[in-house]
Amino acid sequence: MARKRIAAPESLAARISLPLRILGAIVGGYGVTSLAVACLARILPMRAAEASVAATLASFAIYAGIIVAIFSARSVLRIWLWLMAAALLLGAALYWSILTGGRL
Amino acid sequence: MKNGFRQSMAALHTWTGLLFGWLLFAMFVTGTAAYFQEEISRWMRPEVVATAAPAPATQAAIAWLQKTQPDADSWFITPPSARNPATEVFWQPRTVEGEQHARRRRNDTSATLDGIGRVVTTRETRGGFFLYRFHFDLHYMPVLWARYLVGAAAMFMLVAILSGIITHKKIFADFFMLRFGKGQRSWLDVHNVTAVFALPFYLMITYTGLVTLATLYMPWGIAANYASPETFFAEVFPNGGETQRTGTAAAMVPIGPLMAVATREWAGAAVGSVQIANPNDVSATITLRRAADTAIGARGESMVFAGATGRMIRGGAPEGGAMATQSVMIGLHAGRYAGWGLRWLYFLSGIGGTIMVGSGLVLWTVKRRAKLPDPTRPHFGFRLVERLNIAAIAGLPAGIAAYFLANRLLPTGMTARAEWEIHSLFLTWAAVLLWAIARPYRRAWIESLALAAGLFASVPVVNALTVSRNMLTGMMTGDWLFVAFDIAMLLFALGFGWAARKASTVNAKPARGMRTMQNMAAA
Amino acid sequence: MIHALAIIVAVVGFACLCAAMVRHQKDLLGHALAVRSARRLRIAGALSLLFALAVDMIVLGSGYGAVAWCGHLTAGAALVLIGLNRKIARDNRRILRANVRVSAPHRPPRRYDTDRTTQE
Repeated sequence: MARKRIAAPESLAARISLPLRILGAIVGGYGVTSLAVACLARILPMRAAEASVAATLASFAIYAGIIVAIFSARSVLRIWLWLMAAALLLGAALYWSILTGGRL
Repeated sequence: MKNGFRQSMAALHTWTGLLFGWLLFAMFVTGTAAYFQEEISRWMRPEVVATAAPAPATQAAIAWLQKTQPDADSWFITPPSARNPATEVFWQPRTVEGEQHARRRRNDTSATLDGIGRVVTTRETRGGFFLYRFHFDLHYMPVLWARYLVGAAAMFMLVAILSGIITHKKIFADFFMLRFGKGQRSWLDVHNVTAVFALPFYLMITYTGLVTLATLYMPWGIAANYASPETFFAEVFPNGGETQRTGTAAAMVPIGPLMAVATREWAGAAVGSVQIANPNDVSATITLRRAADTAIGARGESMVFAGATGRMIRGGAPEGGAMATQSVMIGLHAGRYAGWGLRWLYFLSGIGGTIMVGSGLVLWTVKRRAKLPDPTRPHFGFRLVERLNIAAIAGLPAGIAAYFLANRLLPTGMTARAEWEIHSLFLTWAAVLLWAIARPYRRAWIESLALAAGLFASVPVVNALTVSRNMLTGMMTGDWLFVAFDIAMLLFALGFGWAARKASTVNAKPARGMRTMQNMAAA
Repeated sequence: MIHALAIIVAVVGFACLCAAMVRHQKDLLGHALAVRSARRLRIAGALSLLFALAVDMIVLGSGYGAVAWCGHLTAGAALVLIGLNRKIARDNRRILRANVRVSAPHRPPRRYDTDRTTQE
């Protein structure tokens, strides 16, 4: 079974690899999705309400895509680096956008 | 991970499927039933037989409200339609400053009326509406928790579908290779076949399901642009704001002509609901909404009139692309727009989904049993999954049958009758769970499935004994709802009976595990 | 009525598509087809499905028709698959009976490899 093969090596790195992956998918994925949705809502060239709704509609596709990508990636370390890089980038963009534009 | 991608996708599919499988099964069962919620409600309130033209019935309902609730803050009227022959009204009683909000029962603020504005006394029931609400609100738990739980399940379902597609890409090219009932692999075949059949439906229903509660699950799109969600909703639904009552009384214009104006404006679409705020006041407004069955979009257009003059205050505001998309997605999910043919296709797709989830759950145990260290004495976790499978797959349908039976058998004057109908569903469900734990595994399957079959079969019988409308009278008088309901119950009884027989006729030799269970194909 | 019509057209379409696939020709028709006829069948199948879409959209309206079409495709594909399964089961039984008469083998000839749509 797939699970056994993943969990078989007894080294610590291998043992925490799966929990880290799951955590990255569920929590990290949700965080990055939220930031991406918030950014989209601010940059899409439509009325604010429209842009908010459009971004929200796309959110589940983004989330699902991130989860699938995380489970298909080879290295857990690289997953977390990517997640953090994406979060930093999106977070900075959002912060800057709200700082300059404000909210309704 | 060698052979990484496919391998981990398969694992993802297996474990997400197991984790949320039981909840998804319950959601599929009740969601599928909810496509006929109006019909179920009608069956559960056999006293309602009235049919009437919408406009006079609405006027009569207003007259009734005028007489009984002249001081209410607002009235809400659902005119009779093809799917519900009665006029449903409910009202928001006047809120008095400083008065504690008393806990009200549903019947204190709502009523069912016939075409000329007389109250139809019906047995107290939540009807098909309960099954609809259970689909996303569950029961015996705070609604908000339930919705988060249901949302998580839907998200897992979405991931399970995507990982399923990625892992089994070949399934599309090999579609016609799918075979039923091939001994060792029958559970897998059932799972595959039902999964591929209605795949567009599953994708659509899962994604649009998430969209229906999207602002709850993903509030960040709104939070990015609005300091508070209220600002957003006030902008999107401008009629949400309440106008102050002036205190100057004013008679209201007749409703019929307004409904005619709206119907003309909407190219012949009927009025689905009438809301009157501040009735009998100068500030009264009448809001008409388009009926849900006249377009796919769930957010029907609305028109607002001044109650005292009949002047149109606001027509339907045109929606932007994103809003319209959201409206169509929600509409696709709820299927309120669907006519009979499409509704049955929805229903059958829903049954397909139910079987897909159920067979997937059983598949999990079937694939593992042979690999257990000692297949005759499985460990606790494995036994737990097995028993929960029985409880979920046979127990919930049995509970729904019990819900229908309780509707006919509980005395009409009973206090908290509607609640006890619901309790009987869950009591039956719990009983099946206990039974499944207490009995040997295979016997538990057979007996639980047989119980479900028996309960479904007894619904038409009990109905015929307790109510004057049934399959035979229906055929004579053209009361097709009662004919169709009885036939549906008998079909479910046959289905579960067949499954029970299938579970019992397999290899009666002391063959254990794999063979025995797999021969139970397609339960 | 429109639903029944569209489902029938979808059944015809999927049956053509199925018959156009080399590995199903023996099951469905009893013999292999020439490459050219197979291609014609494939085109005919695709056109039937498009025709069903056109009928649905004209009769039911574009949005409603498109949704209904998905349902009709599901129903059509399901019916073709069920039909194919029944035909194969019947053929297998006939072959089994014939074999029993000739040489009484221990089990039916295994013509169909079911292991091609594996779970993992």
